[in-house]
Amino acid sequence: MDLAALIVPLIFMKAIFLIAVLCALIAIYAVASWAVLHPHVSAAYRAYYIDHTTLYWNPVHYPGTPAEGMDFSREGLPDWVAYTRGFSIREPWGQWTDSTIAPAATVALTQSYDGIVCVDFSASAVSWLVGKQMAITMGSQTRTVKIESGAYDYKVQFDHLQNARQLDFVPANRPPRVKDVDKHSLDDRRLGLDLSMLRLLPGECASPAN
Amino acid sequence: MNRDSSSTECRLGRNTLVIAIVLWIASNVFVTGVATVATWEGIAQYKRMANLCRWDCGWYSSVVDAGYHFTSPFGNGAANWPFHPLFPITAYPLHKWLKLSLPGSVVLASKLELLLAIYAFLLMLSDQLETTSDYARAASLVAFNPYLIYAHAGYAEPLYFALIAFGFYFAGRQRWITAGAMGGFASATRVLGVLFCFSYVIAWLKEQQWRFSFRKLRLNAMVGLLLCPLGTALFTIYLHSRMGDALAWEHAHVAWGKQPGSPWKTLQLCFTQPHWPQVWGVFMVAAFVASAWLFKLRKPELGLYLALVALVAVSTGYWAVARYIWWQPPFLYAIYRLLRRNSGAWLIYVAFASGMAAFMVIEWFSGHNFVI
Repeated sequence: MDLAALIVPLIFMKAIFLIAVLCALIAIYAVASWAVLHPHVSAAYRAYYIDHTTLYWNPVHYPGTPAEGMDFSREGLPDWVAYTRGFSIREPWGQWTDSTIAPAATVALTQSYDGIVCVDFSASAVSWLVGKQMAITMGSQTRTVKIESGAYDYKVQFDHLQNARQLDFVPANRPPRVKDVDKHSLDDRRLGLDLSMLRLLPGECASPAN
Repeated sequence: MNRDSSSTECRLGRNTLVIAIVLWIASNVFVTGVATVATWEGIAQYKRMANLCRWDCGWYSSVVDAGYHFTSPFGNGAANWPFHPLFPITAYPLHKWLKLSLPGSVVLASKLELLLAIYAFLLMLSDQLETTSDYARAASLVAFNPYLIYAHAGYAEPLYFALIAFGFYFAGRQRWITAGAMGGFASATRVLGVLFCFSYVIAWLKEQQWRFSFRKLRLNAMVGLLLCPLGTALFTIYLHSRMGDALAWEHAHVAWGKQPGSPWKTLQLCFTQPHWPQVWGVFMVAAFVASAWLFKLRKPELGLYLALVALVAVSTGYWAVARYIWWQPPFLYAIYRLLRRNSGAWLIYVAFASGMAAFMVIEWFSGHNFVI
């Protein structure tokens, strides 16, 4: 039998096999690319591992109601808060919003809110933001407050909320780094409000809204 | 191939294996001896091999024991996702089938893979080695690595080292599919293995006398290239199906505060801080210098690999830099070529390497995180 007649089909078979392997490998990389682009994770996972907008993973939840409030100096989160984003480390007096972590500081809620809600929060602010505006967004509604000096109790009225699941604190402009304002500081955070307490109260705010 | 050259190759192959085994035994005796003496002096707690399982060995053990986490079981978000699967897979039979203890099986797997690493390194250097003494010296670079502890403590370093060395060996012989498969296995061992793709391309271009032509593009070379990152690609798909995040092996580093940053900043930090960071800074600079020298030695595939690995290491901070650099075949290759030029330098190097290796074994038990 002619040797070439034996070898040629073998070479052809090998080429076919290699092309099949090549196609299989390309298919695997296509699937891997799709998997990379489509993570199937919780919002809290995304915030901690992927976006790095929160510093605490899976914080413990303590019992509490929105009216009892969220104490920002306490370890963990109350039951009614799913997770937070855009806050700096917890300190004995509360937590700073930090725009280096996320443009807005967010409190994600475990349940949705409808109707009239009073957002009552106590906070102080860095001195260079006093007098500036801060937007407070809940659901699709936004209110602005003027930042006061010293510790201040803000009350913000929201009406006709529909399926509101998070509360955002958004500074009007990106705050400067602390070290850029205070030349003696090495702190490169972009601090805004230092929140100590947050309450969500049903109905209208008791005192005039800010 | 005539009968004489075939028998010479066979003899060399046998000698390579014998030398690898002898040096591997010596390495084990060294680590066991130092750990035992350190225990007598109350510095260490070494009674059995499993006692060497610390730090990352615990994470690999968790993979062997129960697979990859669905979610982080720890408050800081730490999980075993960054620990690629091939090394724990090799420890799995020792634990599940031979019924060795969990830490013992992971440590034994890394010890056995050290033998493979020594053998692979000798193959990689085979065109530089002539006498038995050359082989023994080259083998000693792996067997008495200054950061030898990682080969005896249940880490993936020896397996990764062996696979990359095999990869370079086969790429140098134009066995593209085998070289690509080695790269694929390396990328299933540590994500750094993916970087072998670049060296593979360089080795292929070198073989083509640096002239790229589609007509010369061979199917087996293409298949080999696509095999290089296969390990990480499959792991990525697996993680997506298991816990939803294909890149969890990278994302999980946030729990250890490891974020990619500027290499230049890391180098600056190294030389502005006292003690160990300065030593690691010297290692980083040495790696880049060795990389440049490998280019000069007309080993661009090795030089590029070392440069890329060093760049990745420096970009992720300085804590694991020593381990990253000292367990790279191109780095030890450069050291071998350097020492071969001046046989007197061997003495200095051996004193440094063995002293450092012994110190690291002792400090392994101290709990200090400069050796992790």
